[in-house]
Amino acid sequence: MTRLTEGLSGWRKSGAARRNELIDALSAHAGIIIASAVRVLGSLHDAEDVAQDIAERLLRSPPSDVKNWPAYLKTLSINGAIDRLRKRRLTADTDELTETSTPETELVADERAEALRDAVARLEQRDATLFSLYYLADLSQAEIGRQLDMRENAVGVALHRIRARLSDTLRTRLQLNDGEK
Amino acid sequence: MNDTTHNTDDDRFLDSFVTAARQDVDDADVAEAARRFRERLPEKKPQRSRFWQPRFATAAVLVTGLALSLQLFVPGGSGNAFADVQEWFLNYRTLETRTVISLEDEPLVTVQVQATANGHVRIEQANIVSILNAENRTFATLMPGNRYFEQPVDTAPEAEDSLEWVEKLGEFRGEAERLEDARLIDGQTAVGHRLKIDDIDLVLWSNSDNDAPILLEGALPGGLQLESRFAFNVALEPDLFQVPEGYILVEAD
Repeated sequence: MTRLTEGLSGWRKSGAARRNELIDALSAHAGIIIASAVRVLGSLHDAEDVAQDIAERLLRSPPSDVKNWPAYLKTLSINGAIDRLRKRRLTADTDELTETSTPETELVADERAEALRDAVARLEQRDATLFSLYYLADLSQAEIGRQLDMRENAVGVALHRIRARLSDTLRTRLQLNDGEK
Repeated sequence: MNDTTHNTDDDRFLDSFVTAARQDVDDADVAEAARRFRERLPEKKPQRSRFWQPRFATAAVLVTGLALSLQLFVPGGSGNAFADVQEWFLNYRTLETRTVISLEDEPLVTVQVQATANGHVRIEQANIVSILNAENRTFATLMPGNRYFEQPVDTAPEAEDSLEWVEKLGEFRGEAERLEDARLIDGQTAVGHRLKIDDIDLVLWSNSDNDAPILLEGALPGGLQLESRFAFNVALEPDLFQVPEGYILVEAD
């Protein structure tokens, strides 16, 4: 690269331009920010809080050079939601699977959703984020790799491992519940 | 939903939970929440090109990056004093900085940056001068031998391989600790604020009377020392931001 192009490659947007671009992106992708969070949290109210936190944080310091706003915002939303989910679970009685005192085959959808959230909250933060980005926020493995600075095949391997762990966790807990009945 | 194409009982078992979580909330409710979220967003601001940030060379990046980061820096718990210092970076007519990066007190890089509130920037490093003329929206690089390259700013490509830590500078949210002891710098009594950005310890010294930043000192990785001096609202000749007469335009190679 010549010195000229090297120099020119560095021109950046002004602060106002970055802020305006951010506001446009937040507005355009408001739905996916909230939808991603609500799938993790199961609460619209909490998801709105996550979205508001993200907006306030970004507006204080608008990012530059975001190449994929939907993926970027989904990642922030999932991260924020996982944080909140884990805190919520920490303060709750997490020894028992919430409201799931019915056998596995009889679990209704709400209970399944809540059971999954409970299990995700117990994963390592990065695993929880990875799983949620793929299964709840619909990011491709390649995009997750870009957002989390991982190789795509490493994302695939991790997802396989996390799936197995979540399945085990859910089965074990449901069997425990069945046994207690 | 991502196509999981899972066939085992185990996979189907987990997928039933994932499907339940995805369908747990009504799309209409999400749309309504998104509408409320949009309503809370602030209005966009009119854009002005008061300070383009070049990432032209390490030291130039450092100077301008720090200037911008200080604009964005919100001190936590350090009172209003540092905010008053920052105000100089936000509202100036002209800004002149001279940065020296040294190793064991031997200068390695010296860069001078001059900028105006309306977006002109001139960078001098070694025998290369770069000029952004915000009015003409041109970027010129003056070379030895009275030659220069020029390119419209609008066609400049986005940064791909810039120094990542400059980004981090802009995102920094920390605390500026006011130092107890004042110091005399160029005949001015200076008050210091210590801040840490991306594990780099910096001290910004500012005039105790009017809070104008005077000197930024820092210890960079690899034993490098940074020293940036600031001068605000000094008279800068308009010619500084023009290609001098007699220079010949050449094609970029």
